[in-house]
Amino acid sequence: MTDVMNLAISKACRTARWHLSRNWWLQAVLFIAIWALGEAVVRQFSLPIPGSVLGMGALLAALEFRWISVRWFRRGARGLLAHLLLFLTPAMLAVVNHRELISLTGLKLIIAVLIGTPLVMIGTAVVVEIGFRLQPSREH
Amino acid sequence: MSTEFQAVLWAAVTLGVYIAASRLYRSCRVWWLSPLLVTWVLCGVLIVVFHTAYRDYLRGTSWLVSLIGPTTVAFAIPVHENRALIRKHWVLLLIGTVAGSVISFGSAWALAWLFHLSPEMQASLLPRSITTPFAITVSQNLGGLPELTAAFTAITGLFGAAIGEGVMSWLPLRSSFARGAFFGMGAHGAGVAKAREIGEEEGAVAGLIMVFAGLLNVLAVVVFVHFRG
Repeated sequence: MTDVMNLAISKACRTARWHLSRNWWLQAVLFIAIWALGEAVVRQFSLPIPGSVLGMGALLAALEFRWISVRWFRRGARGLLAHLLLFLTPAMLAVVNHRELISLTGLKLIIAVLIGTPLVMIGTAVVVEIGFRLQPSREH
Repeated sequence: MSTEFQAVLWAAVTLGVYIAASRLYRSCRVWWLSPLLVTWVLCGVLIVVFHTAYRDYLRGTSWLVSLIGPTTVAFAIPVHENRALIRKHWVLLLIGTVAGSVISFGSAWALAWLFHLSPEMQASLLPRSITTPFAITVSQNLGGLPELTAAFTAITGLFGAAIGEGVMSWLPLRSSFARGAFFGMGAHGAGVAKAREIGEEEGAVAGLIMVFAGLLNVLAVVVFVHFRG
């Protein structure tokens, strides 16, 4: 009887793993679970970091120490990251509540973003390029 | 019209516009047709035209917003898959992340000071160069308006990806790391997509710099707020 049950349990586990490594919906649910757990821990111990960052750190550690397989997460991550724009859109639409931005302040903010962006790009790239050229051994 | 029906309708409109915009962008890759911009502007116009209150719109679409958290957790996978690159070149990645964060905060602070922006607007502008999930958190901690930060971040990404290749052709960048950092720090998500078009290593570096800059800024602001009291 125990043999039969063992067999059934291991077969169920195999099936679950098979589905988990192929179905991106299931993997997305896994990410939601990790995030919810992170949020719960943060609230319980009133930690100052967001639950998502804690969940991300825990997942990285679990993958690094090979407690879990990256195959259970790869497709879900690709799916969620591909649609991040969709998740952000409703938050960005809150600007309809800020009609005061159709003004000089709004224009200043846009100009600040437009000037700042090339500054950040050029500055960062130049610093990394200098760091690269100063490296003793150049393999690239 | 009942509020429940309205909520479902707005969720359907948002998804429909997003799917249509994504299809369109697949066949016509110009920056001003990016699904982010099209969905944002079109849904915004619809909300204004139909005199919908934002909170009624959000009632139907807040479940989309709550997926930002799980997607942040998913950033762990590209980081894990590039761990060989991180081990080998962590110094350059660290230099890029720190320098980029300092330059992005410094430039935003200076521009906000130059333009006499209010502290609230300044705090909303500061984290614009890091990827939106992290930028929202930083903005909240600094006393900014997260929804405005989301908008500034989106404009930064769109603009950075649009001008990126043109600006880069003026720079003598020999290293794929510099090219990756250029896009990952300057234009976060949209920049990473551009960097991937240039090269595999550029794309990987851009993705890593984007996530590291997000993490560094969130943690730095947590420490800053803690010590400020």
